[in-house]
Amino acid sequence: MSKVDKLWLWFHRMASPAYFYNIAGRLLPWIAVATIILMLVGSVGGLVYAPADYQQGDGFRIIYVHVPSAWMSMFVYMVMAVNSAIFLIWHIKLSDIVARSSAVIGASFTFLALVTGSIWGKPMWGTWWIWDARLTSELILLFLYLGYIGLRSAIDDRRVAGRAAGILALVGAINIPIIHYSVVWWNTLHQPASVSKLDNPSIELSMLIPLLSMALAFKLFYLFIVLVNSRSELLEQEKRSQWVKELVTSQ
Amino acid sequence: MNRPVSSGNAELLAENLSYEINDKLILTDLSLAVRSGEILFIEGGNGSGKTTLLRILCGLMQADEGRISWNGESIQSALLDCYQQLTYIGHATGVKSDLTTIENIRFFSAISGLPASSDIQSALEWVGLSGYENSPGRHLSYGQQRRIALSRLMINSSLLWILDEPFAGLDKKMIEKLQDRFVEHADDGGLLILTSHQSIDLNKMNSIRIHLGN
Amino acid sequence: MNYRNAFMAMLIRDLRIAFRQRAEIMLPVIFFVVVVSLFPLAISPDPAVLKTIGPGVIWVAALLSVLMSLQNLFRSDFDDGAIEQILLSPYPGALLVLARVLAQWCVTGLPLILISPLLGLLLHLDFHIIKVLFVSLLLGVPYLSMVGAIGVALTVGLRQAGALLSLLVLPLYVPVLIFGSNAVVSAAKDMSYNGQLLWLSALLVIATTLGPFVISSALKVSCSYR
Repeated sequence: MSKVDKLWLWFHRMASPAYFYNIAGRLLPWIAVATIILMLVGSVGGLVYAPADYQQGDGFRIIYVHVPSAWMSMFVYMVMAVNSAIFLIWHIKLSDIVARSSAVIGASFTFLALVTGSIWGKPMWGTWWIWDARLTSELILLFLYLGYIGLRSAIDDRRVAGRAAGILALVGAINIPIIHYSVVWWNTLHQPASVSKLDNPSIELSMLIPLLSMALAFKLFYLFIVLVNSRSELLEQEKRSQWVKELVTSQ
Repeated sequence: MNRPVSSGNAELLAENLSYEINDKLILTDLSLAVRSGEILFIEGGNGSGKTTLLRILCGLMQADEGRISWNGESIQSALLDCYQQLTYIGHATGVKSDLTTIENIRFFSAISGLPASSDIQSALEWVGLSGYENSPGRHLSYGQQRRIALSRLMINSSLLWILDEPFAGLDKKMIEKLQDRFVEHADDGGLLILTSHQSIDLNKMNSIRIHLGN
Repeated sequence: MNYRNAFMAMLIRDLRIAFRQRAEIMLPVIFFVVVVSLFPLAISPDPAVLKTIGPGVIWVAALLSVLMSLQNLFRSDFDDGAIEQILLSPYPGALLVLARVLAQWCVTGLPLILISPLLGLLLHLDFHIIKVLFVSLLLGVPYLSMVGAIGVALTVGLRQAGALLSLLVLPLYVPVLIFGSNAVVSAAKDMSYNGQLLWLSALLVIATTLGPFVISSALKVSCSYR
C-alpha cells in the first residue's frame, strides 16, 4: 500500500463518526488539562512577571487576551473554510459539523478581539474606538461570521444549511485577504502609520513566553469546544446508526 | 419519424435510496429501475415523498444514502448525458407570467439542448392552446400553463421523461391524449416515470407500479 | 447543443421580462437619486462640504441601490419553477446564470452608471472628477452585481431574505467601496488614481470568472430545499 493510500485510509477512518467519537472522547481530558495549565502560565506570566511597557504602563497587558483572540479569529475562519470545502467536495459530514461549531466560537473570538482592542485603545488613544486597520478588519470579519451564522440558522434543513453556508464560507475566505489588504491600504491613506501601535515589532522574551502560551491555550480551548460540540452533534445526527445504539445500551 | 430516440437500451437505476428531512424519514431503502419502453407509475398520498423521489432521480436533490445510475454509470459522472436526454416537468411549470405562450415555449426549447422534432404550432394544437399563442402567461389558467409545459413532450422529444403529477389540472380529453402519448413514447423505446395521487384509469398504459407511503 | 443560442435565449428572455415591468426596473435608479439628494439636506448644502463627501455618498448609494435591485434576481424563477428547468438544462448553469446577471445589470446597473454624472453635478464635483467617478462605477457596479448575485442565490429560498442578504453581501463589498470611492477622492486631490482603477478591474475579472460558477452551485443548493 502506498503512502497516499495509507493517508487516505487514515483520513477516512478519522472521518468515520464512531471512530472520531471515541478518539475525541479520550483526548478531551488531556486537552482540558493542557488548556488550564497554559492559561495559568500565560496569565501569571503576563500579569506578574512580564515588565510593564515604558510607554503604556500596565495597560498593555491586555494584549495577552487581545492578540491571541485576534489570531484565533482569523485562524478559525480558515478552519471553517477548509472544512466547508471538504464537506462540499467529499460530503464528509464531520467536516460540516466542525465548520458549524467553529462559526460561533470564531465569532466570539472576533468579538473578544474587538472589545479588548477597544478597551486597550482607551488609555492609548483616549477614545474607545479608532478606525485602525486591524480593528476595522476585525469588525468586517465579525460581519462575515454573523452572515455565516445567520444563513445557517435561516435554513431548517441541516444538509442544505451546511452546503449553503459552506459556499458562503469559501467566498468569504477568498475575500478576506482582499478585504484585509484594502482596509490596510485605506488606513495608511488616512492615518500616519505611527498610530498603529498594535504591531509590536520588538518584543522581550518575558513578554513573548506568556503571549505564546496564551495563544496555545486559546487554540486548545477552541479545539476542546469544537470536539465537545462535534461529539454531541454526531450523536444527534447518527442516532439511528448502529454504533450509537450500542453506545447507549452499553452505558 | 418523430423522435431521436436511441436504439440502445437505456436504463435508469436507483438503489437503496434513503432520504430524511429533519429526522423525518421520507424514503427508506428504496430501489427501482426503469428501462427503455417501460413506464414507472409512482403512487402515494400527499406527503408520501413522490415529488422528493422524482427530484432525487433527476438530480435536483441528493439522497442521503444510495446511488442512482444512468446507463450503468453513476449519475454524477453521467450528468450531462442524462440531462441531454431528460424532460422534467414538476409541480411548478416554469411559465413566465410576462411572456407569451410562444415566447415561453421558445425559451424552454432553446435551453433544453434538444433538436425540435415538431413545430410549435402543431404542438399547441395538440395541447389545445391554439389561439393563445400571444397571450401572456398571467392571462392563462393553471391548467393552460401546465399545457404549455406539456407541449415540450411534443416539441423536444427526449428519451427520459420524469413527470410530476402530469394529469393535475387537466380535463378528461387531455388526459386521454396524454396517455396515448405516453404509450407511444414507451413503444418508441423511451423511459417514463410519473406520479399521481389520483387513481387514474391507466389501463391503456402497461406500467410498473410503485406505492409510496403506508 | 448551441451555447450561444442558449445564452442569448436566456438574455433575451430576461430583458423582455424586465422591459415589460418598466416601473420595477426604474425603482433602483430613483432610489439612487433620492438617497444622494438627501445628503445635502442632512449635512450641509455648502459646496465645499459636498465636494468632500460627494464621492463616498455616491458610491454608498450606488452600492445600496445595486443590492436593492438584486433582491428579486432569482425570486420569480424560483417561485414558478423556471429555475429547475435552468438547472436541468444540459448547458452549463454558469453560462445561463451569467446571462441572467448580465440582463439584470443592463436594466438596473447600467442606468445607475449613466445617471451618476448628473448626481456628481448635484454634489458640485468637477468635470474631470465626474469622469473618474463614471469609470470607477463602470468597473465597480458589475462586480457588485456579480457578488450580490451569490448572496441572492444563497438566500432565494428563504422567507426573510432581505436583511440576511445585506448582512451576507455588504462585507464583501468593502474592497470595491474603498477602491472605488478612493479613486474619485484621489482624482479630486490631483493624485494618481490608476492603482485604484486597476484594482477595480482585477476584482471585476475575478468576480466574472468565478462568480457564475459559485452562483449556479448556490442555486443548486437553494433549489434542493423547498
